[in-house]
Amino acid sequence: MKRALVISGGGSKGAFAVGAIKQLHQIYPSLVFDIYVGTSTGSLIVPLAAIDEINLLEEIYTTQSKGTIVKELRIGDRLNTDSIFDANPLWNLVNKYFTDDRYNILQTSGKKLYINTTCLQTEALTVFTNDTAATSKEGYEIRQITNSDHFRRAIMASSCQPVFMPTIQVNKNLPGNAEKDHQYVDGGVREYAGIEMAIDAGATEIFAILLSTGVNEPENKYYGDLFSLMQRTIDIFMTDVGKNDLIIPNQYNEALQYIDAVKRKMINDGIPGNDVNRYFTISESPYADKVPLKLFTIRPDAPLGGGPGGLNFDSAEMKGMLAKGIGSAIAFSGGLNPGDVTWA
Amino acid sequence: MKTFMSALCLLCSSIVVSAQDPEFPKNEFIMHVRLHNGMVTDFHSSPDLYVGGLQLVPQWTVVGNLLRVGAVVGGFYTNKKLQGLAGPTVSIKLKTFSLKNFGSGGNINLSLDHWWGTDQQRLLGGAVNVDLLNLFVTGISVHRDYNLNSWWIQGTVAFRISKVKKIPHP
Repeated sequence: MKRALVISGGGSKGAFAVGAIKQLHQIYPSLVFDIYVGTSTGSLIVPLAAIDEINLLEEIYTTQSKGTIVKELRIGDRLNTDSIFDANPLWNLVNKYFTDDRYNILQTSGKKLYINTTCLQTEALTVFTNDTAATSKEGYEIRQITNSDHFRRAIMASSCQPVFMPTIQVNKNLPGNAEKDHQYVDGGVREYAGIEMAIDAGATEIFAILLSTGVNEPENKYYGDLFSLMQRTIDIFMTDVGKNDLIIPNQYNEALQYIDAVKRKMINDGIPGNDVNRYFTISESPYADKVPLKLFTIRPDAPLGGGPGGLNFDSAEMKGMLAKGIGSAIAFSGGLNPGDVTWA
Repeated sequence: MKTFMSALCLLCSSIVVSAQDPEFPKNEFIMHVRLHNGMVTDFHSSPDLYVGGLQLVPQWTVVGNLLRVGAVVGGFYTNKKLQGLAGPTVSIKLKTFSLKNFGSGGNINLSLDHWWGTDQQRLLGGAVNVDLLNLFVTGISVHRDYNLNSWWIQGTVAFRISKVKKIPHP
């Protein structure tokens, strides 16, 4: 049985995920994950979560300000460039925290990491992974992470909201790579939470930490400037992508549960088990050898703040989000059925 | 000079420098080409003389978000003669036109100059300038020629001709 941790996008709201992970570790010290999938801010969290750097994550997600993530510039200088902000402050943080040593620890840990990005040239949801067994699927392309620089570039690309932050040539430093010039941006453009990758990697227990409430978040304000309009549009779009990301795994799960129930009913009615399995075994079945998933979702009850798109980085507000993540993990743990807990 | 320095210090100390102020970035080199024209007057005799010319203004930002120092070199036409001038200049940023999340759209700055002219002019003065999109600058300048006892009152337009430093991509 494989267990996955999936963290969605959400900018500064990632502090909520850090709080939730911290609390889960505290309640269930033996809870370990085999697969880690991150999108956008989630891609910054999962590599450190995979190597148990929870305290470092807490430090990172409670000490940032906008200036440590992006630099505002003169708009006149940006008219012919690919972003409104300079994201080199974030790139410096990525280089500071995602060191070669940490990359090596991750590689030797055996943990499988999936970083979701979107390629502007191919339009494909492109997943950078250290899982050598992973292969491209209908909905996404798989690319192997080849070294620590490639790893950092993938994380950076996944974190860069297009237009606001620059595009990243993830394969830029790979000699002879055919996709050397391809530009990658936030994976959230195509996939808010990579539950699909976790399923395809063989996870049967998935912990999804989502950074939005999952319901429409009405705001009683007038959007009178371009920036807030663009960010609100992205928010609405992301909420919709996020809903779709959950619909597919849930439908998949319902189908598996239905097949399982039908099989049990047939066996109860006296049909031999081998015959039942034979009827349900057809070539190219998407459900072959699959068992129903346990999908645990932790998400906030109310909007977390952080501004549209989570681009407001205020350390005090992020501390509050972290506390909400802790609270949600406690509530999640309290609401579990004893039979659900396979990790205690 | 003492009064001038005191006024400058007072002005500098009164300007609040924002942490995310994109105007006057530290260590930036910037060069403008400036067209100016106006009048030379002593406010008593008439007619006033026309003055107009072209200047090259290279500057470096020595105090981020606040102060540029540089030089002015130019040629001008007045009193039926083509002449030249040169001298130091400083620009002090007074206000940033913040566009909130989009950064800034420009600034208002005060420039202070001392120029030596080729025909015994000694000009001390300054200008209030509006810089838009780090591309186009317009202003009004007043200089006192303390050697020839006249005032130069002009309007200016300038364009940035130096390249904007490219921000390295991650």
